[in-house]
Amino acid sequence: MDKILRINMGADGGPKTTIGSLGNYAGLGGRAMTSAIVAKEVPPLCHPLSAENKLVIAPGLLSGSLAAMSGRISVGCKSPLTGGIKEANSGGQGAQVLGRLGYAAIVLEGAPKSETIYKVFINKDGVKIAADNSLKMLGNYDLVEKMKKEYGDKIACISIGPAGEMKMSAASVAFTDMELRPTRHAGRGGVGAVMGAKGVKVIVLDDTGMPNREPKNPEKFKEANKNFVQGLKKHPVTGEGLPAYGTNVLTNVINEAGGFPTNNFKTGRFAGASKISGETQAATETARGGVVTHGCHKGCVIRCSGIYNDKDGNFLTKQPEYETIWAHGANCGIDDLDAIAMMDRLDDDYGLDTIEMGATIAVAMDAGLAKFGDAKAAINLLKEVGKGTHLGRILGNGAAVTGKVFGIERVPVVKGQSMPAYDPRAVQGMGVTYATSTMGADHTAGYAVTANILGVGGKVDALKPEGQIDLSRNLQIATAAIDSTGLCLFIAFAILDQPDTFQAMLDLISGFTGANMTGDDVVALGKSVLKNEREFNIQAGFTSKHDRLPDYFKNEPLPPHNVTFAVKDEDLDKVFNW
Amino acid sequence: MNNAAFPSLLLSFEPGRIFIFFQLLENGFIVKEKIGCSVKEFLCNRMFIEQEYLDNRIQTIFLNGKPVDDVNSAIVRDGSSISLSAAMPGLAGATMRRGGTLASMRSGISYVPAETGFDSFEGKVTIKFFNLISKELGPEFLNRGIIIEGKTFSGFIVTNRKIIEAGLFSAETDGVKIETEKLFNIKWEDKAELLLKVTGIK
Ligand code: SF4
Repeated sequence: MDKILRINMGADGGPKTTIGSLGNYAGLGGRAMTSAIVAKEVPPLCHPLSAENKLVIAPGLLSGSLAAMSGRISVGCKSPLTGGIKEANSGGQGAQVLGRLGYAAIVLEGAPKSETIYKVFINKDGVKIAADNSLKMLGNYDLVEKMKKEYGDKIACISIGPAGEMKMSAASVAFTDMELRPTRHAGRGGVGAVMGAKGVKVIVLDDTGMPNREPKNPEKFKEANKNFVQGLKKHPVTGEGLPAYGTNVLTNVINEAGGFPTNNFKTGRFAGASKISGETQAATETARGGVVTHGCHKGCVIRCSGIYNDKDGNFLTKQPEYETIWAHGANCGIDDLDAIAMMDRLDDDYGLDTIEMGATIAVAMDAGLAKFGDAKAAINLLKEVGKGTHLGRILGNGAAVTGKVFGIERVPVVKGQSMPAYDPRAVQGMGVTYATSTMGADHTAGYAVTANILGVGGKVDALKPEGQIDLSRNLQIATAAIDSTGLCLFIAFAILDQPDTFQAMLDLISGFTGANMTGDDVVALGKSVLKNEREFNIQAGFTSKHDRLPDYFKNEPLPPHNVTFAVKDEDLDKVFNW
Repeated sequence: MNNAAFPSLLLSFEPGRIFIFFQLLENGFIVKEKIGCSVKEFLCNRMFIEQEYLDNRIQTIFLNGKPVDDVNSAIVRDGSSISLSAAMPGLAGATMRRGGTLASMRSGISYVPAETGFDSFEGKVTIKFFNLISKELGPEFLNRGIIIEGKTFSGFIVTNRKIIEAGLFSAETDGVKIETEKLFNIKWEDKAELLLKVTGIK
């Protein structure tokens, strides 16, 4: 990964490619790469759909190597949803294949001069770009089938569906999985709309003939990889819970805690939770001949994903994640797993963020467009988005826009982005991260390692309320660092509990890069990513006033525990004091 | 456990398909036991869960929907609900863990031991097993017998009829053998509660 591919979509005479060295971006990967390029090269006040914005696709630092779990990829730009900087993260085969092809980033720049849409093909021999209007408004599934016919089945695709072409703020960028299905998405923040604005429908990658990326210190790397995998396998979350039930294992637990937002964040408990839980989902998949334990890319040893078949045993979609089950389920009052799986499939096909769409449909339900619990009506609303009707265009632009259009106050967004599946009144520390993250309300922003392992910002007293501020800060730093490595965030629990697994991760990175990586370096990396992102957002017009939850979270008690969000504004403002 | 007062249903079942009954454990089953003791005492001495399992495997415990940090000071009362889970992923999952470093992130909903006294008599407690706990303790508890509401069981057998038929060897109600068809025809929803025993037979 020693080069950056830039494609100027607005060049005279049609798209023009330039392959350059890494320059100042050497040593960066994933989120560190996307955020550095966006912060340095995109004018913070530009329109997100304009020629001045750039879409950056960057595999993680370790992607393309044999490091376990290293197939995560980052997509960055100025977000049409939040107006701030965005990094959306995805699994799938894209990171590994792009890494093996040697590209540390693909940067889409400029804007096409016509409505023509393009496909990009990259293999060991170079890059080809061709106009192909026959792809217009194809869903991701049909699109990938077409690419398969044209380029064979040894490819990986990065694509947008109709939502991206219509430049909707909830549009995602899809990445194909091991079965060459477009099931993995860089979902958040409308990155698909920016790809649509660049006129690129699909990037097809073929790494035939390209070797794995070699570590600088093969012995150290091999040993560390072995220890890292052992650590993941022996931990109950990464070795048992996630493989057995996927992320949806959280439904019962968060529901029990009274933090499972239901009917557009009106209560924290959903009566139908056990019908849509990870346990029920796994039992359903098993009974229908689906798959309960499956990786989203080669080299994943946790394998939190699966395959969800319909009642007749035919493939419907990948195992929907916890966030999707919540968004299209409890948050809309829907307790029908098959209906939720169908919405997951439609989201993947249209190229939409499942969290944003579930939150939006719930706001639409509050506006009277459908009744809570009406799965058929929810599916129909989603189909409006796919068709691009006037109503669909409103919904496809997310919960904030929908709330405004229909005059709804209860819109659970921060910086324009919908909150995920944890009510911040019940889990207040999560609320701190929602409020202050550079990304808008985002659950993955503060996910990773505890302060006690990293030892940043002094020792945190977990029992004091102020501890939440310190924890959120440290978690955001650690998450930004892990997002840059290409490692999946779900490794966090093994490295949280097992210092030897944390050390194995550091040795893995050191063995690969040849530089000695310490815990302090992880902290420094995370801080530098957040610093770039914060500075971009400040120049884009964000102030501390944007680091707040909507007022109703402070005023409306959440049943069953009847709690409100009690963290003070002045404490929220301390998150980035380091 | 004093279970004599309930209509009973005994199912002999293929062990490989017993997992289908775990939904009932996840939904909650009823235990009538002496209460007024700590969560630890209740789980280890009344439910016969080994202390080592409690300490190492059951990472998240809710008492009436509130995450418990100290199993010795949390008191089980009449009408209490106790939910048990293995370690959970995600930041929110980690915050729910017992006494974990992230416990402050959910301090607003954590269980706080009451200072008032408590009685010690037989009471009704609802128990829920989630995820790996239902997988690991489920077969044993199903074999011992669980009390569930008739309407819950009624919904369960309608939804899962196909797989129940596929795994069922024989069924008995109150000690009398019944045909499979009858199992699905009984109006379970009319019974307030029933004692369900599921025994794995190869
Ligand atoms: S743990 Fe899950 S999300 Fe992470 S890489 Fe594996 S399958 Fe993908």
